[in-house]
Amino acid sequence: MVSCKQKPGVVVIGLALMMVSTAAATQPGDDYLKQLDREASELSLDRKTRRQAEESGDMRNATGLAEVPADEAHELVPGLSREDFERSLKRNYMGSYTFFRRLSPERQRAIYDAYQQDPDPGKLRLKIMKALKKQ
Amino acid sequence: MKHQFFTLLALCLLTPAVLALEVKLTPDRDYVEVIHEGRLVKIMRIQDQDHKLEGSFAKTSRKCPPFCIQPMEVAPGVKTIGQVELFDFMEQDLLDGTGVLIDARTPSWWRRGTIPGSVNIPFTVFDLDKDDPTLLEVMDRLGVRQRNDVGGFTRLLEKTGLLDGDEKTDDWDFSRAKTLVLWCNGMWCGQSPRAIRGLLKLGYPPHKLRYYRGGMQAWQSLGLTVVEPE
Repeated sequence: MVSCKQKPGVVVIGLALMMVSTAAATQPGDDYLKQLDREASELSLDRKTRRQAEESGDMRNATGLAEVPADEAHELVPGLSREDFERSLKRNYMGSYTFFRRLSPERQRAIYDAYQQDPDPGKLRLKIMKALKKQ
Repeated sequence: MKHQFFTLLALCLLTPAVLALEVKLTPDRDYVEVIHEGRLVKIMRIQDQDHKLEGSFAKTSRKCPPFCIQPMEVAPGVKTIGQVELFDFMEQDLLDGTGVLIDARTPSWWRRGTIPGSVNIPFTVFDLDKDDPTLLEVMDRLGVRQRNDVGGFTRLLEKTGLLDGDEKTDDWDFSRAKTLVLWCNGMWCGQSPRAIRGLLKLGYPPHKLRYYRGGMQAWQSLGLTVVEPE
């Protein structure tokens, strides 16, 4: 056991360490960001994952996309004409509309028929996704 | 002629089996399609069943702190999700524009690969002052409106229930806020938990937040598609 009286140097070192650690604790954000950047700079992707990422460069263009604000989303109302149905789908469900446009005319027609039977957007979305996968 | 017909028939019958993926996402799902930076991206798994992960996300140990193991529950009311729930989110909320997938890492990480469909909103943004233009822009993107013109009396009525004050604070209106899924590097990463805590501090309703704890490490360990931002 070392007493402070016997070793005044220990007290000084202890105080210095406390001050350093307090200083570190008051700037956790800066230190954390530096460590994050250091770690990120050494980042390397897995070979096959990287190839996948490069291949994603041939992704198909999804033209005419626009983000729909949540407050502008409305339910699909029943009884719309084909044209109004598409317009409503585009305005309220851009993702589903994007996939709908990629369907063949026959399948698009089938989706519109399904809408006339049941305008539930959730069910329609599933039908669109299923039709797309069948293509 | 007859021989050719049967060859063709056999090919037609075999084709679906040949084309079917051996490494699917789930028994009934080969892939998920998302929109990433205006393009459609197909998310699927690496088909090489002998492949083993290399690179930074195969690493097991990093200094803790700061790279410490995160708890399963990041905050009360915030649901922790896995990959399958994330696929569902991608096919529903993300496609319909009612949800946002957030890569909460700093841009230096984002630039080296991200989960398709994600937008980069670093966790540091949610610590900014409420009037900071960056925070305002981000909140607007998330469907949150700033409230500048709310008087003390209105707030009092809202708090007492005489006016609709649900999901509203003195500064923000979260009633139209989108559902968010936040993620970072994985179980050892504190960036998305910090972003979630920042959002909660701003008043974001916890039921509209999801934490994908597996993050990039779990994503890559399953051989899922990664995109490098342009």
